[in-house]
This record gives sequence, structure tokens and C-alpha cells, in this order.
Amino acid sequence: MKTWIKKSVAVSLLTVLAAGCSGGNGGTAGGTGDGGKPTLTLWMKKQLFEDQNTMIAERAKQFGEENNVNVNVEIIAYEDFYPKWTAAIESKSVPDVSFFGYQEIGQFYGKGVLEDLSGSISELESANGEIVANTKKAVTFDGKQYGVPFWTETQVLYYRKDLLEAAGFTAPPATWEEFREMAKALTDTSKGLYGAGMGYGKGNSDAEFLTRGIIWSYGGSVDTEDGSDVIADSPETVQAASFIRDIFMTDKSVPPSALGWDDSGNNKAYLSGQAAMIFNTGSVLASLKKDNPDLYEKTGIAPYPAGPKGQFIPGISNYLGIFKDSKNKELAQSLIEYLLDDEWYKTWIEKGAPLTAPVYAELSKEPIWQDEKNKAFVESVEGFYFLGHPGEYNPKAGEAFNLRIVNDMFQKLLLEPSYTPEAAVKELDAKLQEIYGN
Amino acid sequence: MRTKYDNKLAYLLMSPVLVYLLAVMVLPFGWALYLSFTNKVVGMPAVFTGLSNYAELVRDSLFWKATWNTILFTAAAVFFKTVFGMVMGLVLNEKIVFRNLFRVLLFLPWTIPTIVSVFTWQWIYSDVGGVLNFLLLKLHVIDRPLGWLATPDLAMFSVILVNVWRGIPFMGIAILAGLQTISKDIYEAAMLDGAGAIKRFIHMTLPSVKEVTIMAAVMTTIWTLNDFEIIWLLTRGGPSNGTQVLSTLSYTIGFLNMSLGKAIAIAIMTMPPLILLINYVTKRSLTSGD
Amino acid sequence: MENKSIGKQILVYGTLAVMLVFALFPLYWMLNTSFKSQGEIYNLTPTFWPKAFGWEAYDKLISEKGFLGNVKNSLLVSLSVSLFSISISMFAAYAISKLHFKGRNLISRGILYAYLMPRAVLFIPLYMLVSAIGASNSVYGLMLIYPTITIPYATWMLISYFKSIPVEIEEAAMIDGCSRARTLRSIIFPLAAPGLAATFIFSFTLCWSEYLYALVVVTKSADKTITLGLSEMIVGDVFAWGPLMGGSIIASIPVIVMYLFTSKFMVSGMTVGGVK
Repeated sequence: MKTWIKKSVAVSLLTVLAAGCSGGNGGTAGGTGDGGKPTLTLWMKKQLFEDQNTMIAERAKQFGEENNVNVNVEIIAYEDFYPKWTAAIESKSVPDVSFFGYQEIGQFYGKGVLEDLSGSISELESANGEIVANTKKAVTFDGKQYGVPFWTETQVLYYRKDLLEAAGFTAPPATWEEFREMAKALTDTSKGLYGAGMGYGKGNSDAEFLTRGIIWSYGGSVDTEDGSDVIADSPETVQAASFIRDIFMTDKSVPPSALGWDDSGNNKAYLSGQAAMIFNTGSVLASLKKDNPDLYEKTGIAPYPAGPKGQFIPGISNYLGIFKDSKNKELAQSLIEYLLDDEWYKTWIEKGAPLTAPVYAELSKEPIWQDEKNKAFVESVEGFYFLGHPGEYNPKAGEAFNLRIVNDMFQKLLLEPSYTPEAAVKELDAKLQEIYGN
Repeated sequence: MRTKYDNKLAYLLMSPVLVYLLAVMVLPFGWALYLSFTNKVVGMPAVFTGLSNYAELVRDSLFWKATWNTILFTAAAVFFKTVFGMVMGLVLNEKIVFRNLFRVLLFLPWTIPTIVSVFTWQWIYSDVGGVLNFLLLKLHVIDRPLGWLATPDLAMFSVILVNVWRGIPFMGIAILAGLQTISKDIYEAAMLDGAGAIKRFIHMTLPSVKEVTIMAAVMTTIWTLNDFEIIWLLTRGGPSNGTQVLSTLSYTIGFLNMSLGKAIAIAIMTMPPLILLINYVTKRSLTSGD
Repeated sequence: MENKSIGKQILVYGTLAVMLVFALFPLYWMLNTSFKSQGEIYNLTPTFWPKAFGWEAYDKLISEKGFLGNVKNSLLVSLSVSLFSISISMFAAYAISKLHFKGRNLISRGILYAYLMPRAVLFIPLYMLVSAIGASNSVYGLMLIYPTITIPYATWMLISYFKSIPVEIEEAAMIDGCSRARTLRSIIFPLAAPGLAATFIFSFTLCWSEYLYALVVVTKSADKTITLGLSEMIVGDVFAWGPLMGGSIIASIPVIVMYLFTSKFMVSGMTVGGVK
């Protein structure tokens, strides 16, 4: 009389199998789909402007129709990329084309999983014109490029024209010393107003870039000269660290909660009127235009201030790359070239202006970039420096960036009054040595 | 009667669960365990390196900091969840109006997805437009806005608070369930004896909910120890690694740094203390001999 | 005596009030934010009631972000996984709690060990398993993985529950001539109904709020679950607080409704070891 139980067990087992098997055709990466059509998968970073996301999807669909392939476009938030790449590489079910920041191109190049795309780049350049040299440099290893530049983003200085004027300043700060001076003058804690909105949360990527920009412009470094010997522990790095520490601890020009800010922290501070000057990409300008036209009018945009050694702008450039495990490499290359065809590309890039700036030198001369507020974004590209400076960008520099070692050091420096910049830089140097394997 | 063994029937009944766990948990775990003895990084073949991952971790001060933070986070969170859960259970066990309604309302924090509660609290903690600073300033508890996630101690407090907020209801309902099994007669008898409220609580209430409280606390401990989302989304383990726990450290090393072997080794090192804890509990509850 | 009981009433209701405020304030804040305009949200002084009630956030969620699709996926995964887990766990739990067999201690402990397995350990192996059978990038992959969370939990809860059902009831039924199957079907499982219901709801909640596995397994937008839908409302350094809070409200509703209807079961279902 155990049939009832047996039946239930059988049903349960079948359900297990069904749950396992019904997804049999769910895999999308590689392979061929219905009717023998090959399938291409594109992982694209989710853009702030919805129009840009839609355009990518439409463009990819069009590519599919013209070339008789299925194209899957998957729009993924940047934060979510790392675990996805990892899982995809490990299971060998990689997308054919994927977005990468230049740090990741370096990291993955180091693991030997990316295709050489120098050929695509030269083809694109002969068809559409020159691609900004700086963006190619960041992904060049042994003379070959492992990613095709797709767009750049730039951190610029946002400043409140009205507040600066009221404090008697006629122009935005041209040097870091001027920036410090102005930040101090603009700070008015009784009104909850702070001169400088510089966040140092653990995950904060803005801060990692900004700090490097300052250190470089003082002649310091958090990397190597030749790719092996870390040269962080120098008087110049200490000088830059002291400079940042003074803004926080001596002048108190920064909101006290800034040490906990994630990437959205300085956006919020500026949008709410808490901070008079911040460093950010074009995302703040976009939010301002949409939600706060009044503040938009009062906002001025300028490139990074310069230090004793000149102006150093940490570059943020974005790429499309192809995994070695892709099953349709040739089609994948054509898709990349299709997405970078300058006629369509111009429309797409301008939909995202000024957050996304073009990689074709010619396109940055378009009228949209002559706009007073947009100018600084394309002008900065020429002055881009990348992680690893003064050495070439290398995977270890990317690792140091991802681990937020510089942020860690600064959090500690800005929290503990007894911790000296000298000691902090020494400790930072030791941590970096460890990463570089020394 | 009780000595009869039903081996066949028992294994038949358990077979679906056992098959599933074997295929989807035990085998993957074995593989993961192997990886923890290798230098596996993403995209590269694994090379067996013995205990070197573990040895490296034991020497790493950050690992010990994360271990300490994990213990602090778990102990504090479980303690407060148990205490407030007990209060919630006791209050709901009283004859109050709209008891069912209140029960559901108090249960709500547990029902909503973790990620939702994290976003909400992040917004409450925010220094700009955040309501917590605003309220405390209004009430003159603080004289300037606090950066709830900006200093190590305060950040630890803030992440614990979110975890406790979410976790109280589970403890509360479990304890309430235990309380409702106490017979009213015994209580009344004790009242006649003139036992005071505190005495009654210590000698009668507490012993009778001890089992259920310990069980629920163990469950909660496991959940809390493996908690990843709250800390990752609120602080990423910062500031200055003040809230770096083992789960966030493992994620950072495994996915941002791509050292899978080492990341898995970290996760595996959290298991022995849990196994000890579980052995302690199972000894209590599975005593019926075999 | 009178005085004392009034004092006690004040204490009870006072505590209740404090707990209610603590539990519900964040939820109120969610609701409040979801009706505000983006400009009002970024204000240095928060307002406790939206200046202008707006449904933009919800409108955006449904028409632009396809949030209802996320809700549907989550419902599908959570329901099927919880039902499946319980339907196999209850037999295992019955066997462990009521039958005598070799290796019982080992298995019951093993189930609990399975329960404490950190997700970081299984993360990569499970992803490889899922993509090996071609279920990656779809809700089916989640359906395969989520029982690793729910089965050990459900089995463990149900073991305690079955244990609380006195052996005598079962023995009496068997003596009356019922087969074991019939005893199970018409006596044990009905008696365990509240426990089954409570376990089901808890399992549902665990799946409903899962984020990490979903993040890795599902990429296709049509198959994304609510937790993914929500986390996607943060693009880089811009938080869409309105839709994020609105989505949080929508994501909370199904679970809340479920608890409302079953709140009675919940308490008796959790009465581990205490059925009279």
C-alpha cells in the first residue's frame, strides 16, 4: 500500500529533473539558435540616459537583420559586471562582445582571456577618422590593443558661480592651492554649506580617481615607473596627502559625513546645495538639467585645477572587447565596427552628452561640444593620464584601484589625527608593493 | 515497538532531498573545497598549492580584522534581536486590542526583501535629505549632522541597526509561539502564590521558551554570519575596513581581485565555528537515541 | 491590584507603541519618498508629507522599467521553488523525525550543515553547474539553485514540527488498521498543516529577497527578478530614489498580503515542539 508514497516520490523526482532540464535551451552565449542562425550576445553597460540604452538595442537588432544573426543585447549596471564576468569566464559561456572599462581590459588581458583587436581599430580609423590616441594607449599591451575605444567620461570641477561671486572670486580655481583657499572661504557651517564635496567612502571610485589626480599633479605616484618598483613613498606623494588632509582636518571645508560617501555622495551634496564645489562626471549636469534648472543656471564647469607639476586628469575611458572563448569572433568584430560607424555613433554619443564624449577626434569639434558647459569634458580628454602613472597602465595598477587601497589609506588618514601623512604614505607603499609582488 | 528499523522506507522518503543535496550541494562543495587548496584565479587553470591560501590568510592582519568584525557584528546583532524579540513576544502575548493587526504590522520588517530595507535605510542615513539626522537635530539629541556611515564605530552601529531592525520579527514570532504554549493555569497558580512579575518571568516564562529561543537564535546566527547584502550595499566594508566582515572580504578578493581560491578559503574558514555551534544544538534537540 | 494592572497596561501599550514606530517608520519613509518629485527628494530639509503628490515614480516603474515583469518572475520562481522544496522536504522530515533507520543522526545533522553553507563557497560551482546544463541566464537556473537555500531550511523546520506530533496519535491510527501512507495523508499532514504553511511562507520569503545568485545567473532583462530590477535603478552615481522606493513598496506588497492572510498559522506553525 505504499503506492501513494511511491507516486509522490516519483513526481517529486520528475520535478527535480524538469527543473533541471526545462532550461535546456535557455543558454544564449555562443552556439546557434533557431533555424541555424548564429547568436551573438552583447553585454553593454547601462547608461544613465535611457535613450542611449534603447538606441544600442535597436542598432544591434538592425545589425542582426542585415547579417542574418540573432543579437542578444543585455544591458547591465556597472556594479553588476564583476561577478558576471567572473562566472562567465569560469564557465566558458562568455558574451561575444562586452563592455569594459580600461582597468578591466588590463586585468583580463593579464589573465589572457581577451582577443587582440588592433585590426578592428585600424579599420575603424581608416573608415571614420582618427581615434584619440590617449584612449588607445590605455589598452595597448606589447603594441596591440585589446579593446576598441567606445566613449570617454571625464571628471570636471563643478562650481557654484553665484557663491564664488559672492565670496569675491571671479574665476574658478586654476590650481589646487587656489581650490583649497576658495573651499575654505566658501564654507559656512552655520548654513550647512561646505566648500569642497570630496567623498571618501570605501567603494567610492570618484575618490580613487580624484586622489590620483591630485597626487600626480604634485609629482607623486601610487604606482611604478617601470611596472615593477613601487615609487609611492616620495616627498611629493606625502605633500599631496598633506594637502588633502589639510582640506579635511585643518580647514574643515568638507561635510563631516563625506568619509562615508559612495559614488552618489558628492552628487547629492551638490544637488542639495550642501557643497559649493565637487568633482564629478557629466552625470551631475544631467540630473541638474532635468530636476533643478535653477541650480543648473548657477553652475559653472571647469577642468581639473593644476598642481606644481601641471594639470593631471585621471582618464575614464570605456571599450568594447571580445573574449577569446567567443564562438563568433568575426561577427563580433563586425558588430563592434557597426556600433562605431561614425554616422550612427555621432547621434548616440550626443544623446549622452556631456557624460559620454566621443572617441573620434573629429566628433569632438561638433557644435554640441562648444557649449559653455560641455567644453571642459572634451578638452580634458587630451590631458588624460591613466592608472599606473608614471608607468604604463598595467593589470596590477587596476588591481590596486579595485581594492580601493588609496581610499583605505585616506579614510584612516582623515579619521585619525595622530596618523601622519608620512606614515600613511609609507603604509600605502607597503600595500602596493604587496600587490606588485615585491 | 520502537526498536523496529525502517531503513528502506526512510531512505525512499528521503531520496529526493538526498539526491538533490548530493548533486547541487555536496558535489559543488567538494569542488569548492578543492579550489581553496589551489591558486585558482579567474581565467587561469588551478594549480594545487596545499594550505598556502589558508596560511596566507592566517598571516594577514586584514583577515583577522574581518574575523573580529564578523564576531562583533554577529554577536551584537543576535543579542539585540533576541532581547527585542523577547520584548515583542511578551507584548504580543498580552491581551491587547487589535492583537492580530499589531502582530502583522510588527512582522513587516522581516517580510520585505533585504535589498529593499538596505536602500531605505541608506536613504534614512543619508547626510543630505536624510531623515535620521533631521529628526535627531530637531529633538536636540545631536547638535550637528552625523555621518552614520562615515566613521568605523558609527558605521558598525548603523549596519547592526539595519540587521536588527530586519531580524527582530523572526525572533519575536518564534518566542511568541513558545509563549503561547505556556498554560494559563500554571500562571494563575503562581499569581496566587504571590510570585512577583520578575520572579514569574525568570522562573516560569524563561525556562518554557528557552528551547524555542535557542533554536531561533541559532537560525538567526547563521543568517547573520552569512549576511552580505546589508554591509556590502551600505559601506562596502569601510570606512577604514571598520565594517569589513568575512563575507564582504571574500567577495572583494574573489570578484574584484579574481582570486577565487583564496576567496573560497575565507568562506570555508567560517564553517568550523558554525559546525561546533550546530553540534551543540543538535545534541540538545536530537537526543532520542540511535 | 487595580493600580498595578493599569501600570502594566501603560507599560505594555507604551512598549508596543515604541516598537511599532521603530518597525514602521522606514516603511512610512519609503512610501513618503515614492510620492515625491526628484527635486523635492534632494532637499536639505526632508518633508514628512509630499508637497505635491505624484505618481510619476510608479508610472515610470511600470511603463518604462517593466517592473511588473520583474514581479512576475519573482512570483514564479518563489512559488515554484517553495512548493517543490516543501513537497520533497516533508517526506524527508517525516522520515527523520518519525522513523528509525541507520544513519539518522548523520543525515539530520548533514541537513543542518547544508543550511549553514556560506553562499560564497557555492557561488562559482553552482554557476558552472547551471551553465553546464544550459539553464544559465534564465529563471530556470534560479529554480535549480534556490532549493539549496530552501530545502535544508524547510526540512529542518519540519523535523521539529513533526516531532511535536505525539507518536500515540500515529500509533492509534495504525492500530485502527490504517496503512502508513493513509496515516500520513489523513492524520500527520493535516495536523502539520500550520507548520507546512509557515515553512512555505518563510521559504517564499527567502527566495523572494534573494539577490546574489540572481545577479550572477540572470542577465536577460525579461527574466530579471525584483531584487535585480531594484538594484538596476541605481545607474552609476545617480540614485532614482522615487522609483527605487516605489519599487520597494510594490516588491513588499505580495509578501505582506501573504502574511496578512496567514498570520494565525505563522504563530502556531512556529510553535516548535509545543503542540498540545
